[in-house]
Amino acid sequence: MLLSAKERKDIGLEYVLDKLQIMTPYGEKRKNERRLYRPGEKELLQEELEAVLLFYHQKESRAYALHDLEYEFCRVKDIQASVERAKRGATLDEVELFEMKVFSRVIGELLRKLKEIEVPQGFKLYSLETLEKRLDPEGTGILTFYIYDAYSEELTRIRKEKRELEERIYQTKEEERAPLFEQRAELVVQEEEEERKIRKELSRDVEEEADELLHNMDAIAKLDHWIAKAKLAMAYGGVMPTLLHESEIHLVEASSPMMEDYLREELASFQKLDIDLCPGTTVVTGANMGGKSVSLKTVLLNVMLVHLGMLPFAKEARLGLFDFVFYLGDDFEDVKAGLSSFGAEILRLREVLKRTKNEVGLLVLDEPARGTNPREGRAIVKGLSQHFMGEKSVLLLATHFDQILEPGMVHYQIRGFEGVDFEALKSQLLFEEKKSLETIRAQMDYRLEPVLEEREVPKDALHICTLLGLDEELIQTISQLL
Amino acid sequence: MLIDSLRSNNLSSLAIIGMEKNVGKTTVLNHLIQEAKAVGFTPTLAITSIGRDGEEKDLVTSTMKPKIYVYPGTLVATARDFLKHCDLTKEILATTGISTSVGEVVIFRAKSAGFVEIAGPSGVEDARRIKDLFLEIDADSFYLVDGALSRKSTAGHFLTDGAILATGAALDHSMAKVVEKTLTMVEIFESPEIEQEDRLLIEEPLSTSRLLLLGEGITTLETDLAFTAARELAEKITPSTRLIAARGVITDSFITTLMAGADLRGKTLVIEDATRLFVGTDLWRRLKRLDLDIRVLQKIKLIGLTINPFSPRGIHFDSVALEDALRQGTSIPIYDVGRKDASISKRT
Repeated sequence: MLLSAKERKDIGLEYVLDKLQIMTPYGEKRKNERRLYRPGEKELLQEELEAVLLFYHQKESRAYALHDLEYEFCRVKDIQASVERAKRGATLDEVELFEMKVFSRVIGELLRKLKEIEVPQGFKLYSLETLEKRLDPEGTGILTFYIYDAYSEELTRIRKEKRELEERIYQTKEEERAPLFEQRAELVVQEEEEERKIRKELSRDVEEEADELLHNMDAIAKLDHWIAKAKLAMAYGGVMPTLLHESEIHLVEASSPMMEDYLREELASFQKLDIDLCPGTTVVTGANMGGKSVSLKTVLLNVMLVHLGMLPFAKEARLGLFDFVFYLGDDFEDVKAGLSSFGAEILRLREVLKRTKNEVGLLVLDEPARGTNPREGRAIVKGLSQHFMGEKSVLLLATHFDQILEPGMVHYQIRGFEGVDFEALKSQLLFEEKKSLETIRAQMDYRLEPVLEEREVPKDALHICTLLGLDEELIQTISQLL
Repeated sequence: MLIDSLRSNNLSSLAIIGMEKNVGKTTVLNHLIQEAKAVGFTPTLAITSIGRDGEEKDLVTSTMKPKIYVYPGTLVATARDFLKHCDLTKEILATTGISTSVGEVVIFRAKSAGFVEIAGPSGVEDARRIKDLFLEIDADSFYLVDGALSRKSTAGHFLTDGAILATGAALDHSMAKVVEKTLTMVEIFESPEIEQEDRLLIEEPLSTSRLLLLGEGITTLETDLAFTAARELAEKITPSTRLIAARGVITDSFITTLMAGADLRGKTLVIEDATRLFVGTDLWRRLKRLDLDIRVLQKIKLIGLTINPFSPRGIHFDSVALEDALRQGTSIPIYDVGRKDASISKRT
């Protein structure tokens, strides 16, 4: 999906994924696969989301039962390699057999506990009772393992003989023990040989159940992952999205956990975001400090989450699936590779424009062409905006340049200082000079507002200059220039 | 007998700390296990090792490594790759998730007597987890650790309440030097515990920083115990500083840098426990002459010294002479277990 690691981090996606409380190694593997659902996989995605939703709904009503499941999850170890070894005909060692026994028991416990919980249709765990019994031939129910005497009479005989010898060794004076140790060494060889035979048989039992074992690992992975996703959705307000056939995005009160947590620490709150995006061009304008970048990132984050089979953080979400998403953020790594930021930007645009010829994408551009001269920059942005009119892909673009908009483009504006008593704010700042940035931030209205008729780009930049106490004469000069 | 001092000192755990490789730690361990069996020592022995990173070195000096012979019921924590060298019937009790270069540490119970080879965790934190697991399996088990005295990992660190120090000819070719080094270590072990009122003052701030000064107030330093840390620390020591506390290993160079930069006379130096101080005899004497009061946060009771008069390089001392020389300097019981139990140590 064309997002680099840094971009995933910037938009707050890594933050969300890090918050997933996965408990089993299988769940961890499933999470790390980061499966993205493609436009042709709507049904599969729907199933995944519904599974998450099912646990989301049970998170409170069956909290105790779910907690019980997690206790079992803690005991799950990764034994996939051992099962595959057994499948290839290898002989497992005692520790591997011990782990098979524990795993079989955990499955038994999960089966019992899952009776209390509603699971998605088609979800199934296979009982491994037969294997567990094979690994507990004395029927003690104790969750340890050794090559039990009960497995073979020969083993019982060797061990009895060895035990008696060991007793004799103990009774014998130390200097006379050597020949007895020689005898013992022989018995040890016999015992090990017999144990190996038994381990071989037991490994065939494991082989017989290999498909069930592997299926169960996969099932645990899903269960673990679903529950983690549901918990996260609970914590930050996720919602079941409606998947559309069209390449549209409609979000109501969308948010970003990373921004929410960050702002909470600063004792501020996140301004949730409403937006409707359709194929073609959507332009976002607004003051500096107005949160254009945050809005763009929030849209991108939630679209990505849906593609990853997670509930987006919003009050309502309706959207289609895209072949790819593309993000041009405020800074990107290519700059470090020696290219000017403008050059790097153009190279990336070149590549993504090729893709839009055959695929449907979501392209999010945060102030493109900012690094070049305003006259040409404006032309580039305007050209880009026009280029996407009538295209199947969705272009979401934030810019400072004016005169970009044309009929047919959708325009959103950050409200900014709209409705703010500017003089009152100015006098407030006189007293709290040190906190001016915070005060402005608190007064700023970050909401995106659809602009229906052609409107002048607000002069919020000049407002900010004034509020931050830039030289008054200079401000006079600037406003005359405008 | 060694085992008697476990009882008389009311210990629930013991580390066998070797001053060097090939000083006969394993022989001491075997000897203890034998004694425990002979006297019917009731707690289950729960055995592991810590920081056995010397395994490769033993291959280099090609010394025969004696194996440990245990009796039924004993709990053992060892790395997975070493299980094949354990020739007894093993009941696997737990896999620990603690990994070493020779595989995950696994805990098993001996279902028969037999030889075991032990490679436990390399770090102190993991050894503590092993101890907890042992106690979960058997709350009355006696934790027995085979440990090397090394900068990387130390056996005694808050893990055991007792220790046996194993020393011998492997330490130095001169017997006088062996005696000197050993007695210095014994003296370090005899350092008293910190005064209760000081403990209350420093314990909490020291849990989050590695260095601390106590004077008119408490100053903490957020650096590792590196060369520069000692210099930084020295700058902050004032005449009103009365106590210096450090977590982690304290080396010769740390102390000399500190001494060069600050007047330590009459002050108190607090370390975690005796195994954290790595200073040579000369420096130890200088510290004593400075009237520096060395205290530990946790006292490890040294219950015995064991000597191995043989070294793998062919040097060997007169056992009696070595014992006598050590006895001049300490009243701690000294045992020469090297010769008596030769037959129990199967040569591999």
